[in-house]
Amino acid sequence: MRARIGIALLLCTVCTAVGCAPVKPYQREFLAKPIMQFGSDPDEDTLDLHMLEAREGAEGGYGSAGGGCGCN
Amino acid sequence: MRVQLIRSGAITVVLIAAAAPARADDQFVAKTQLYVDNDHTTVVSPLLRISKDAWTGGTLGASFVADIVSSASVDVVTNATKRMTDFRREGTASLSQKISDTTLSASYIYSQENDYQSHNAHVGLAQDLLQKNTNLSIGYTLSVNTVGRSGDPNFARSLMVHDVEAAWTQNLGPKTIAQLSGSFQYDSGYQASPYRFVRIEGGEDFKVPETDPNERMRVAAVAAINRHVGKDSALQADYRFYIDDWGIVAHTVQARLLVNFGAATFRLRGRFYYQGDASFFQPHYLQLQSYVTSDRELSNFWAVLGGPKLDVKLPYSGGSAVLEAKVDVFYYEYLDFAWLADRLGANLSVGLTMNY
Repeated sequence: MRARIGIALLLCTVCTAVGCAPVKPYQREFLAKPIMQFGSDPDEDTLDLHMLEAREGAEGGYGSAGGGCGCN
Repeated sequence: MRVQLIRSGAITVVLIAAAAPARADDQFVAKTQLYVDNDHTTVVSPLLRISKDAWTGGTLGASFVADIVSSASVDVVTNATKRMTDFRREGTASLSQKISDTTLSASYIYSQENDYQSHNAHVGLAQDLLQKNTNLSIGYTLSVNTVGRSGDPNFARSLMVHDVEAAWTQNLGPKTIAQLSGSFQYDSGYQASPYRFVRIEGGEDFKVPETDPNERMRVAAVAAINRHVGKDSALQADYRFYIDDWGIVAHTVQARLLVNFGAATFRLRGRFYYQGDASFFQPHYLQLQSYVTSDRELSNFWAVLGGPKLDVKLPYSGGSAVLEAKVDVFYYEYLDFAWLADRLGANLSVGLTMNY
């Protein structure tokens, strides 16, 4: 619990520093749309990255496909 | 080539399967992708996936992907074989459990072809914070691989891969989301191709088996932003920086425009990739050295990829069935690879998604 509060405080500090205000649930009409998801088609990403990483020296880094932000 | 294809592909599948957002409906997906290039390689990749909300907050998933490969590329021809064919199959089982603002996930993949076997296990944790304005996720994947050589039952080499990925997704405003993510990967074991030989040209010409270092540390960091624009469109952009201890530094830039109109979503995207060569890569080796390779994926090259995609919700399905079609064209230009100057090709895919 203490770690969770610490992380929340750290994120608040960083967010304030970069100028992003919390978005209220009723303001998330646009954020909740599928086109606003990172990696909204994980099956396509599976096939795409499979092809690209087999032909390029670099791989990884893209992390979470979902994110969860903006959902209700 | 196939060593990297299987290993990276399996890890990619594990991460994406585990990171896919929890869905409110059960879902069935069927897709097929066709890859063709002017290096005489064709790959057909059918994909089937099913996911089911099995209990409160719990989702079970299973998928199957295959690669049916036919190739007469320079990699194959330089190994005294005119054409190779291969069939790879991969099965995935996944589980995720949402508990309040926390999502736990785990998955396992088994992948096999005639000269390669791979086991992959993944665990992940995602946490919503600050009234769901922030999401933090972290995951770990272990990949245990056995590399074989077709026609040689005595050849077996092991390769183990540890991969840690983390992501921070942040709402920056009512129309903007950003994400910072990164990965650290440690590969230990056999990483060359058992089929590839390298010509040593100084004085008397001779060939030796490709030899890569047994260890590799790889770091990638990505910054991405997604902005809602106009009536119902989105602009997405991301940049990836990659570096490893083999000396490769790579940059990737992508941009996508998505437009919703009626029951359809149109997407146009473009991608640029550039990488420098590995420290031990040489277009021509004049003398034998510790590590020698003729792997073009370790050479200096750039690439572009782009094309449209259309998703259409089928009438009479109430929006639960979506048909999609995609065309991507790509071009690779190899700046110091002796056997191939460039590669031009396309990825074509069609698919059907049903939510029920």
